[in-house]
Amino acid sequence: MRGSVKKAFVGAAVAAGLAVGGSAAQAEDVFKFGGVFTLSGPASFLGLFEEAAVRLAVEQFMKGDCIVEAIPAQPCEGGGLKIGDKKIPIEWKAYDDVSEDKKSIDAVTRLVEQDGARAIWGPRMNSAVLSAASILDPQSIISICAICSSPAMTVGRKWGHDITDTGVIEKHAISKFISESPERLKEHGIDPKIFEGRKKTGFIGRNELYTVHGSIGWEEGLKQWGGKYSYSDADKVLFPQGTTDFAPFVAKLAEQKPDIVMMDSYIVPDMLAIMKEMKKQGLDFETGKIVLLGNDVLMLQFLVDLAKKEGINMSSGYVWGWQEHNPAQDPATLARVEKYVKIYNEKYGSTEVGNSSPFDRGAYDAAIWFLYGVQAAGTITDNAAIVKAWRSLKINGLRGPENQFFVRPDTGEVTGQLMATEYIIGVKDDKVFYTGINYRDDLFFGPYVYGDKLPK
Amino acid sequence: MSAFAQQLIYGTSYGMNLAVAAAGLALLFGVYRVINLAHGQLIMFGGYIAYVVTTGLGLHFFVGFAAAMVAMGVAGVILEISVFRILQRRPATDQLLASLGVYMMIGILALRIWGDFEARPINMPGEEGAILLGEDIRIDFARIVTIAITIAVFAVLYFVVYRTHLGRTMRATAQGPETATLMGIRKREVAALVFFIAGALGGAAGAMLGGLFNVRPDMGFQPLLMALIIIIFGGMGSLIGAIIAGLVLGILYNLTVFYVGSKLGDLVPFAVLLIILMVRPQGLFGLPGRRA
Repeated sequence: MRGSVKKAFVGAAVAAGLAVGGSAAQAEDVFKFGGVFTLSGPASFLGLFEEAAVRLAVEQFMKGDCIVEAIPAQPCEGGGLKIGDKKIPIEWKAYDDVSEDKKSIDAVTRLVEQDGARAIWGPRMNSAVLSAASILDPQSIISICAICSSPAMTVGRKWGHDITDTGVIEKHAISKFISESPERLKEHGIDPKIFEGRKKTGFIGRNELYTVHGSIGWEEGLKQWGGKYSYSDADKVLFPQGTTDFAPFVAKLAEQKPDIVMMDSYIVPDMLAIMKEMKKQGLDFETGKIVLLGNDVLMLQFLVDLAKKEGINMSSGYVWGWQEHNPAQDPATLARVEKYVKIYNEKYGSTEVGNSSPFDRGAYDAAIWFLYGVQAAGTITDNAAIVKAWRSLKINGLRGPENQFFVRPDTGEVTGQLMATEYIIGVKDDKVFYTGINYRDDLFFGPYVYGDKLPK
Repeated sequence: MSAFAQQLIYGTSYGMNLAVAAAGLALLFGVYRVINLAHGQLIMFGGYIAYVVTTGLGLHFFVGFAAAMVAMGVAGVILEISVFRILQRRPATDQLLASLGVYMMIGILALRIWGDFEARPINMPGEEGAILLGEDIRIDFARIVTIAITIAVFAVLYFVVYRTHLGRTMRATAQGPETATLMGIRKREVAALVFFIAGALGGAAGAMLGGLFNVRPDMGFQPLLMALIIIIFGGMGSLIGAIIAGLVLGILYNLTVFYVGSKLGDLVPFAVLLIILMVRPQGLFGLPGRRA
């Protein structure tokens, strides 16, 4: 087995700070937080990088080498959280849920009841998020996820934090992009003819909550931006996990005769298989028969390269998506990213975690941000104060400058939802490129953002 | 009408692949009375072997296909010797749980070798080509290839089981292991042979399923589930039953996805399973004594 990440239990990453000042910290003077990740099994690629990034963030914080800056500024002096005159070491513990709901909940319970964690990172799976919330929220335990992409992390939850976009917000962004005026598209060098005469849209994805929410966000967005395109949530095509033959699902999609297809999947083999089958069944995005839209995984250079190897041309001008990370980084962000990537790759590049991608950077941002928040609160035991202080901070992170939490304009309440910027991306000459179009504030609407509880 | 015909074609192709996967399980149960859940991972690993040989080494698909069959056949024999022979006299649940353990181990092994993030395509002959019937009906060459292979595989399997001495020893062992032993049939050799054939069938299914789209670590689960339903539907241990049940389920699955709803495709196999268990527990071609 490559790497040092253990399957059943990922160990603490603290030691550096424990001996600061030559004296061991008292047990009550340690800030304990932990996480539940998928570290083994088929979905481990979704957990390994996130756990690794949080672990690295804790280590960096303990070393006093935080790459991310808080606004207003927070100290990162090393030795732990600076609470008053004291330095409080951070204890990080993570468990593997093997992508099983029951193990997720067992691990959450263990972290709270046995390990004394004040905040819990994860679990990732949408189905486990809600179960975990029922344990964590009544005990005022802070809940955090940087890859959940689910409204279930925040909607109706006082202690939940979603430090990424959601499937709903993402679809609000890409539906806004295709509804842009021809003038705005031209300003950014995009031929408006790409969307001319197109009306009907289709939606395909794996049968899971992320996609179900995505379809709702897609329908909401298309209506919000003028109703130029038609779509009904009832028309979404969902394939089960582990599908080996995509033909009937793509046929179902093709039967709707869409002009534009939103492919809401993040599983690379599924995405490539669907794209291949779409071409075969006449949903051809290479010739412009349809426009293919996808998410941040579709817009990874890695995926474009893989697609090319399989004979799929994504550079036709009819493939668009978004990313939550600014691809045309400003110099300050770029400098932060370069430093981080070097450290991350040296630490994990030759292990099963692998090299850095935009996704682990988001998790690192979130972890440092949270630790700054604890420090700003001036307490390690009052979770209400920690939440309040954390949410009032912004960060200049690896994703870009001025990350902040979404503030509801109707109530002024600072929510636990990241106010993610969505950057519209295209592919040209087999390279992904940033169009210069991005969205943020106006993506936050609808019951899956504002609701007091998740609509059924 | 053309949409219906198109779904029949897709369903036939899918059902044939499932039938090959199920035939291995059916054979194992028929002769050895074991349900080997690790069969799903032999399907997956067979796909990877075909990928390595065709895409990695640049050899022809049929070489990769044969390599997948042989490699998984050998893997089947290893499984028989190292797991099932030891557990032979233990309760069926022990064997089932052991095979589940092997399933997990093989899955982790594949993840370690190939990872989960990349799709691994298999170069198939005529991958991009198709026969067009009118404007709306398309038969992909790749699907024709897999259907043809399935027919050939079943023809060879039928010949081996019903027309050769080896087949007779297998059938004799299936009918009465003790009597077969008394008649001089070496039970261990028969067991190894059956596991080899079953593994090879798993490898064949993996190479075909992977050839249509791509190979990935989780590709063994759905075929395993479907194969289990197929052998119950077709009759435990029946090869003919596996073919017919595979075809019926494949076609029903596709028609349901297309006409009823994409989310309901998975409902069909389980509904069929429920009906069969209630109405005809021995399956279509099973003997009354061999209930699921």
